[in-house]
Amino acid sequence: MPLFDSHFLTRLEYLSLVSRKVFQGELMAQRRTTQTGSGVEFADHRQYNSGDDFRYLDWNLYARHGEFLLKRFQEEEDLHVYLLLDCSRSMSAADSIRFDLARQLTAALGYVAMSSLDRVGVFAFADGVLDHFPLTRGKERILSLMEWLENLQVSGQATSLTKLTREFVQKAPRTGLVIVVSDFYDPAGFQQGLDLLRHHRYEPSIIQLHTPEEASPKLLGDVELTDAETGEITKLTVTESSLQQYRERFQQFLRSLSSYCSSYGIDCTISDTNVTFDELVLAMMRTTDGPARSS
Amino acid sequence: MSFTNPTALFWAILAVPIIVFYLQKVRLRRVPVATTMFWEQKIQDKQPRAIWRQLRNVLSLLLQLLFLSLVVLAIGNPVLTSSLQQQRRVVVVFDNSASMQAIDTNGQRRMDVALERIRRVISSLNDGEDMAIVLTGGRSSVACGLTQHSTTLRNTVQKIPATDGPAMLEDAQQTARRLLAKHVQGQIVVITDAVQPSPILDDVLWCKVGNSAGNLAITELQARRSPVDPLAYDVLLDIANFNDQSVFVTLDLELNGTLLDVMPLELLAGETRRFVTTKTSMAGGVLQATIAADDPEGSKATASVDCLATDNVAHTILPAQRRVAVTLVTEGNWFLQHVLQANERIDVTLAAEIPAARPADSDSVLVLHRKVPDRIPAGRVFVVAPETDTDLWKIAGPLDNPLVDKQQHDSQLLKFVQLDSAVMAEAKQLIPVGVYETLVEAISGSPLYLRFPRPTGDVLVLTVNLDRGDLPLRTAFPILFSNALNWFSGEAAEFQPAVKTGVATPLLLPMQLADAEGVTSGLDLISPTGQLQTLQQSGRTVVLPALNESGLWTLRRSATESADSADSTESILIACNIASESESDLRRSDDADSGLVLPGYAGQPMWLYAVALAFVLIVVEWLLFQRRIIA
Repeated sequence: MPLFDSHFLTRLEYLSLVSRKVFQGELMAQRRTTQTGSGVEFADHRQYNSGDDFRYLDWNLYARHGEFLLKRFQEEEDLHVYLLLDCSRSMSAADSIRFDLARQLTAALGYVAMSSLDRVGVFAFADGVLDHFPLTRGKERILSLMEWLENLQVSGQATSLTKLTREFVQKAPRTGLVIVVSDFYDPAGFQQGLDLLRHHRYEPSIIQLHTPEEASPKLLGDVELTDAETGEITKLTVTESSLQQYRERFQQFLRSLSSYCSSYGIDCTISDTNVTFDELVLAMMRTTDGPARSS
Repeated sequence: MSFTNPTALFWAILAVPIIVFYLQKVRLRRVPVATTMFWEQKIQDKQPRAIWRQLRNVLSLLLQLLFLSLVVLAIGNPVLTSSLQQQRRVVVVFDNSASMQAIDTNGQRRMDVALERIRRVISSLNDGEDMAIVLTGGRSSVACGLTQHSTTLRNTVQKIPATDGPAMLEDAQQTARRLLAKHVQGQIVVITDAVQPSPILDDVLWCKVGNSAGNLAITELQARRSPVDPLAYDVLLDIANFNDQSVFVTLDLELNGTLLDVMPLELLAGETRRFVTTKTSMAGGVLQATIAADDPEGSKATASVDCLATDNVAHTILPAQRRVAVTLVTEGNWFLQHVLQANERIDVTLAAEIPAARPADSDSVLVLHRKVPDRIPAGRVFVVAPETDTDLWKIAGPLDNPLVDKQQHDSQLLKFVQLDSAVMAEAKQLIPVGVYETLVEAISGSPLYLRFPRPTGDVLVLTVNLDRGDLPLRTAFPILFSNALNWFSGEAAEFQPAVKTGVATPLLLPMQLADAEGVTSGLDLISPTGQLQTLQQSGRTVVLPALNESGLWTLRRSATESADSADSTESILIACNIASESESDLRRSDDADSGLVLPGYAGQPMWLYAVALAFVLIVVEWLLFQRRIIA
């Protein structure tokens, strides 16, 4: 069964229409940049310097006060949306459901952004950037994006958000919205990577995906756990009490992720893989400018 | 160590699948996970126990193999060689006599206590030890031969009956010793309420049940024909008070269910009161005597003075009196004529000549005085002082010294008759021809009173001249004739004395139980509770076995023989009473209940220990290994 079939495209278009209706005036492409430029909306004045274009001199102020002040306008520009897709082996540890959902989610978010005339770039990462889909605009490019996503394979070593962020900020031409789709199973922790994004003035937003079996494993007895990313083998006897401790630790991880996002105003969506991509997109959009939530 | 079931050791092959499963379990199930970062903390926590975790599987395997070994060992039923050499042979002498039915003051029946004791003995047997059970209620009998099978022993114990027989402990111990057959580890355990006799034997372990208790009992009930009144009975009755205090007793006498007499009595401590009563009826029947403690304080106080109920009732049988037709052929003898006429049961007909035809009544008796025919007629004939020869005897003249030398004291014909040293004047010397029985013999050896048994009827001959000697003046004279008439009418057999439980008694069968030739081949003996046993006897005398149940027994011709004519008259009742002071006297000098002390009988079969240890091991294995998974 293909990852992106005609039914997917239909739901994608429906999702685009619904998102416009529901979030009218709040779409990403209607954001203003903080840079002044050649826009039509007045921003402020500044002192005239030699070489400046006379056309922007405020002659009324000169007549009134005798000073050469230059009028400045807020520049309107496209929003850059970066989608960081986790392609580490943990995304398809037991099966490929999570990785498929992540790719569908990435395609859907990219389509919504393209529909809003934003520029969209996609970075596949694991222990660093593995591949990237260059910045592009126009929703006619969605087919290319889907083809690119469909050809992606899980690879790389253990997830390293820090290494990813360092490579990403060097490759990204401009700041913008960064949506990270991952399980965030970074042995070094997720905080440092997200801190780097914030410090480089990106607007991070995260989507954490996990399987129901990860939240509540159904293991008992002597087992040999194989880490999908590192290949490490862990032998242990799983008892009911150890399972209970595992569940508590996993929930603690999710709570720390959500708490971090709340602290820094980062949109956070936590979900298991039992939901469809369109439900998840709508849930994520509801979190925009709102508190982090999980579905 | 040896095994009684060595083939069971092949079950040890089950170790192979256990090891296979163990190897499969050691090869852990591999589970791919996205990350182990949430498990790692757990691993680190348990790191100090890593060695234990590795050893745990091996220990689990060892425990399981040990468990299997013990189970296989248990199925194999191992027996230690030393144990085989020390195995005991136990014979339990179980007293199920009448006194064991007593209910002690604590409310427990002695029999129930004894049954619990014998079950304890069975439980305490070591594996491989033999045990037998000998009952001693009445005649001692082996209820269960030597066996190691505890289930058989328990089933035997369950079927031990309560009897009314006396305890014959000495006989039972002899039987037990024969069963032990000089076995080195032989042991006799006597479970009884009797006191252990002295000297105490080493091979006998005495287990006494019950405590000293009071009792009231009928220790004797017998009836006999009155020697002075042919139509009356004398009933002898002994009532004993086995208490250390005087007791008021009510005695009821019933004949065929009709109350004859009620006598309130006060029996002193330890007193045995004897009564002789003649309050009976000519019609006869079953005479029942019943005593009951009469205590105004209530039944509880009554129970304390009368702990055994079965000896409070006794029976005896009184046969109906029948009239006898006697034809006296004589030229005249005052004594003979009056001794017959004085008997109210007799209808006397005087005749001068011997009648040509006998009366149709088969019970009729012909009495010939002096004059006798050449051939004695068929039927019952009593000949007094014959003068001529007949087909049965020859007369050899007068007897020189007619002094009585011997008489058969055990003969019914001489019952209550004492003729020792009596002078039979002018007695004739009689030479019998054919089969005869001498009842009274002169000092010269010649018979003075003899019996000729014939299939057609006995002939009694008294050679004494009644006109000369002093015999007619003796008390024995009318009794002699009364006995003879009773003998002829067969009532000697009909009058059955009450027998005692546990005592084999010879019994002269009445005519209705014999065939035409007077021979009985098969008899059914039916107990008061309906149990039937068959007696195979020949002749008119049968030996009743020791009866272990008091009450009224029925003796009849076997069902197969009497099937053609189901006549109720072809049966007689036999009264059986406990009548034993030793059984009724529940007072014991040794008052303590000795309990049961069986040193060295605490052992259990080895397989039981193996099973117990296997159970412990499997629990340990579960606690150490299996429980960790689901805990």
